[in-house]
Amino acid sequence: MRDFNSAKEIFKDVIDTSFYFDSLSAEFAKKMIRDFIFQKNVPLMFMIGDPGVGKSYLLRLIEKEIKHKYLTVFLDNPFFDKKDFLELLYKAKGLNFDKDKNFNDLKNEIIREYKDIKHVIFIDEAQLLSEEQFELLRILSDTKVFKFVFTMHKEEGKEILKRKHIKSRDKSVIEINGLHKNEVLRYIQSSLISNSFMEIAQMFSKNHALKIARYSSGNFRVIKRFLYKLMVLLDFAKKNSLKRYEQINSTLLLMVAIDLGLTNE
Amino acid sequence: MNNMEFYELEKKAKRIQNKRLLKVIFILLVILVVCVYLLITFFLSKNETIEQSVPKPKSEKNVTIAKQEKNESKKFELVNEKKDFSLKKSENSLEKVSKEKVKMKDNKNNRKNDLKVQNNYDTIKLSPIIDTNLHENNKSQNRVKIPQNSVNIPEKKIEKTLNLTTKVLNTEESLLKRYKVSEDYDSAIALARLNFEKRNFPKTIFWAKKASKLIPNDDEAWILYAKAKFAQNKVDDAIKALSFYMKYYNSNKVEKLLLKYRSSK
Repeated sequence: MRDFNSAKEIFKDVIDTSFYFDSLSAEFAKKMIRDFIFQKNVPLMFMIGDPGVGKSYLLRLIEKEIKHKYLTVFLDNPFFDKKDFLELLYKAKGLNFDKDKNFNDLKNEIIREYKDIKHVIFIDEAQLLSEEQFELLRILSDTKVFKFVFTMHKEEGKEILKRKHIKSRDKSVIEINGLHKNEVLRYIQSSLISNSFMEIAQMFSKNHALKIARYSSGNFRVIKRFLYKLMVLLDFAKKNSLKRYEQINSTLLLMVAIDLGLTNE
Repeated sequence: MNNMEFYELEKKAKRIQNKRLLKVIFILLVILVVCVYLLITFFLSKNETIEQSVPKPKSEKNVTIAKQEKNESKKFELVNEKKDFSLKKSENSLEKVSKEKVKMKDNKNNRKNDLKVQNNYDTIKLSPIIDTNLHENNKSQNRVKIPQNSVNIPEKKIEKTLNLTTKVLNTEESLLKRYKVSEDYDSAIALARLNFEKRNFPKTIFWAKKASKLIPNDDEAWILYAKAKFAQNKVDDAIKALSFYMKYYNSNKVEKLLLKYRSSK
């Protein structure tokens, strides 16, 4: 039974770390982040990549993996006041935050508190941080107490890395790419099979996957949107008994590409 | 997804697919046209080069001797062992023949006109003739008058030949140019043939010698040389050249021509 309507739910644009696809790029990034966490003298790590290649997903995945060993702080909304950030660190450690204390006292206290704890602070979408916020993070990282992992969009990230106060710091930089065209079929099939849609998974051929890879340029988010829309169309064809669209074909893939604006023709 | 949406997408997709198909057909047509054009130009240029390098076939019909010989001909096999020997012999003979030419210059006999022309072309060493007693033999032997008919070139046919050869003046020029560049056997023998057709016997002798120097075992150069000599009423020279050739090589054509000349004596 091909339940396209249920299958489309797999491809909704939400971060679900319960399913990990071991793409080459992701595996490499994971290894780099692990190495960084174990390194003592490098306080900053930057993960850069195009939107939708899976940076946030990887960050979540790593956080989940090390959570039982390390104290982790995850910031997916970087718009914070200096004191708000310190408050977050206080709360993560289970300390009481006194708003009336001045900033320097709070800072010195938190440095003392985190000094002997294994911890990593993850900051997503760091390209949105202001100069002032970056300056605070730089000051904290210079103490060699805190470890930060940032994710940034590729273009903006490269510009930020060129800034003097970042450029001169010890840091690790990793660029994440999307799926290779040969990995797309494996990704589609493993996503479907892991959710018990074996029959639908078998509908995809290598040729279909290559076409999807071409339309999406290997971008995880686009692939998911593509597959979501494809399931919608297949579901429609099934419900309306359109025999020519019982199977995946190039017309159907092109229809999806047109709908998502992935073709210039 | 409603019907309208689906069919709209399908319509767009089909239109794009048709465009793509037309594009492919157009590209294939362009490739096909280019290929056909290249093939045509290739064959035309090939034909031109064949016409230039082989001016023989048309005029050959007019030269009775050549045609007769051609019809009878079979390619003879070269006796490998004799190759080097013949070359050495040829070289020895060349020096002697040049001496003979000096003597011939001194000898003011009735053949003044012939010699004048011949001297222009006999500046190279003679390859086919090796008989050291050529001069003495010439003296001792009575010259046999050869009836005009014995050179089997009917006047009418010769006229035709001349007409044809004037048409291929450019061919002679191009052959000369080619010979100057590459000094190859094909050009030399083609020039010998061309001059024989034009009844320019001194030039025929000149080019036959050139050709025989390049490939000594090829009978055509020797035959042309002998025929030219025969046409100049130098039957003995013709016979000596052919019998020398027959000492080292085997050729039906040469043998028959030799018999013919001997019988005409």
